[in-house]
Amino acid sequence: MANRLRNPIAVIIPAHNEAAIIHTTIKQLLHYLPRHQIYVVDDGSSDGTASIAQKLVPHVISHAKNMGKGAAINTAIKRWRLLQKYPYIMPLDADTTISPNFFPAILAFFDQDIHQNFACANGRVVAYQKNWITAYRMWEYEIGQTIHKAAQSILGGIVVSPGCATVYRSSVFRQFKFPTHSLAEDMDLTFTIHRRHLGKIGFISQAEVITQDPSTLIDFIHQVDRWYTGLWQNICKHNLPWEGQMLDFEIALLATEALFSGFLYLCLIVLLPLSFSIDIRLFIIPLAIDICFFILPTLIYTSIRRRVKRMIIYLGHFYLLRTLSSLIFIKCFFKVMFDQQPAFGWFSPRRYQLI
Amino acid sequence: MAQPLYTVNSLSLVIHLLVLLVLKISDTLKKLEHYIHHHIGHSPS
Repeated sequence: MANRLRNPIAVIIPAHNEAAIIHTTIKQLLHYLPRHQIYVVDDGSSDGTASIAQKLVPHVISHAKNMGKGAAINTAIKRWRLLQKYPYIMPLDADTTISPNFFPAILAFFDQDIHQNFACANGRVVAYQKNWITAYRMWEYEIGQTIHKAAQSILGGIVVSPGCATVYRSSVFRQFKFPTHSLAEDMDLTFTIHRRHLGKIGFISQAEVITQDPSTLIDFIHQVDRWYTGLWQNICKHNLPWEGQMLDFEIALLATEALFSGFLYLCLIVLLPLSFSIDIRLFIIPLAIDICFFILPTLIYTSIRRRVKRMIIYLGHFYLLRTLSSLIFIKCFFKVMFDQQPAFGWFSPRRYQLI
Repeated sequence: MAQPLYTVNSLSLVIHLLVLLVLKISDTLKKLEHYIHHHIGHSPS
């Protein structure tokens, strides 16, 4: 294809039991990159992921046993000497679809960074729409990136470079390996970039990737549990929020408010049976304010931006997932603070074919 | 991991929105100042 890139980016796809989706992901990626720039590491799969990948690209390697996403990326970098061959490295999740504008927008960004001030560039993550659970995630991503991340990008305090939408300068991996032994490797790497002053983190809003997020409640709970556990692990590991960087301020703000909200939801659930005996306005007024000034405007914005008309009717569902997320946040806080057992490994929600 | 931490809560949303707003206003004022300096400031009248 005419718009395929010549040399600059190596894409590493770490995969564990992704037979259902890896073919689609690689085929789609081949529209934008020549096949020799795609590197697949099968991390101990038992479903034939490696043999599917081998039919499409020449660079495929398998771990005999499951070692984790970070280890798979490090294997690719070492085995194929990617740091010597490419100025940019992009780890890509096996469930991620790249938009046509992704690589041109990212490369244009790096081209403008003449003094190499930026260590990496983040694209925008869009959730593939399937049902009310993925709609919630779509809403979270849209608002989180349009408002929070846009502000963090200007202030220099981006808290996570998503594992599925970030292109790194190779120089980052010359200084240290991709983190292992973490439930949120991408957040671990982002914190390390801040702490070691390796460079700024850019956010390129128009460079989109589409991800498959959980479409069942069980998968949703598992994923959120994993993310929040990873967050608290990284907060402890990187001594947040005590080192005076913008990152510390951001994490302090977000985590404190999320903890407060979690306890608030917990109190509301406990007090709900008593609501008949106390003034019902105590519940109704805050709820009305929240709906009118926060939920509805952001839902309408996302609905128009992503052309998902049904999003408005999921209002009640969103409250359920929001409450659930807040409670999981508290649970993970206590889990990490009082149980120091390090946990890591793969989590893949049920995959589905993109239409 | 993406950004699920952000939108669970609204206070951080308002703070980040205000940051964006202030930066936008500041940027607009700079552009206006630049425009005035180059167009009106050098006017023959």
